Amino acid sequence: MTRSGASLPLSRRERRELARREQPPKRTRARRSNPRPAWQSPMAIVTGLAVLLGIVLVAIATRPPTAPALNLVSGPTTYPADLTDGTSLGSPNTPVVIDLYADFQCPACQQFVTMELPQLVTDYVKPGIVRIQAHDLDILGRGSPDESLELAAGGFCAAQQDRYWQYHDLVFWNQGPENRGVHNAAFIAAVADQAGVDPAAWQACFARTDIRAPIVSATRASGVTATPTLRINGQQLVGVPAYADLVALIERLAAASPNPS
Amino acid sequence: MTLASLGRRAPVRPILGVHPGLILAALDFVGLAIAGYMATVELGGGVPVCGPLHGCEEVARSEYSRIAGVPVAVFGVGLSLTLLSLAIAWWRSDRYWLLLAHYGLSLAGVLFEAYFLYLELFVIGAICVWCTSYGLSLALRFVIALTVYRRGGPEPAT
Repeated sequence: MTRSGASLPLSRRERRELARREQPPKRTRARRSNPRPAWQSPMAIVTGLAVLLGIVLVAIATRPPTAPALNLVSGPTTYPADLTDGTSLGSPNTPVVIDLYADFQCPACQQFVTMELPQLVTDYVKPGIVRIQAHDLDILGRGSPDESLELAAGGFCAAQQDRYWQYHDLVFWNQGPENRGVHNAAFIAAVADQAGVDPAAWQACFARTDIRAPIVSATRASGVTATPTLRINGQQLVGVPAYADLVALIERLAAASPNPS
Repeated sequence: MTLASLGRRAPVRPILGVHPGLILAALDFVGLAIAGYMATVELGGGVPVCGPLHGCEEVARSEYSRIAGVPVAVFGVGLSLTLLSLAIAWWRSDRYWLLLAHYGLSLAGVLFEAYFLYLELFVIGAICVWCTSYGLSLALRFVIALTVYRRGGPEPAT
């Protein structure tokens, strides 16, 4: 090697300088041989964020549903487990049986349940004179969802767990106006929750589609057109009876029964 | 390629002579229609009808049909509207970050739909054809966005 225009040899420093110039920059070469890792690509970052978002959404959705904080009023009656059997209340062999036909949205039924039923249970059901068999009808329900039907379906599911009478009283003691959306799914779930059902089993039952048609069929088959209707050993009373009249009838039927308590 | 390259316009290879953004937008519109129907019915207090299959009523009545009291379908409407906006914006601008956003959101939606399908099959025990149709349309949108991005995005396939 020679200096330009001269034949003098290059010094060590000059040779080093020349070699440095001929070499590609080290940083550039390193960058080309080690490209950005795949996980730093926009696609990977967006995929990671999307997966994270998906997990967050699922986590939010899987939080156990809590019944809305409704201030539900409880009735005064307690129902011993040995007196309840599904929708039936009382000893199995009572001389008097009352078939109570009611619509959960019916204000007259509410009057009967809140003003007369507690006394009736204390005076005649718990002593073993009267057994009450409830029949929940869908007479007043309009539109979709049909609130009477939904309340009755909720009662059916509570009965599956033998919490029907707790549910029954809570509905009537907290009854709202008819067909205004007050008795929505959240209300019914809150009532069931306070009635002491197992929420998961009750929800699974309430979501079933086959439990509503029998309620509609039973309403038609009952022949009842006004609620409440009481059939006491076959004798029919329509509307809310005066408590004294009701007691008189029960006493008479109990005395006449071949199976006095 | 860097994130900055996503902001640049890049040519898009059409699918069957159509800009893929339009295909995505059409599918987003289908999803919007399904979610819109479900949301309208559920917000009105009713349950969606799916003929002899009956699963829709059961799923809609279940506790899983709402998140924080809001019907899941309402979230579906929000997602579909966002995806539709992204697809149209990508079609008009050819900016790949819009496609990437469409891909990411549809992936998140697909994950949620997979979870919801699991609930329908193993927890609720009923299939809602409307929900499943929405899920399938979402999965299709995710696959298209992924394929188009990998095929022609500014970032080389790894």
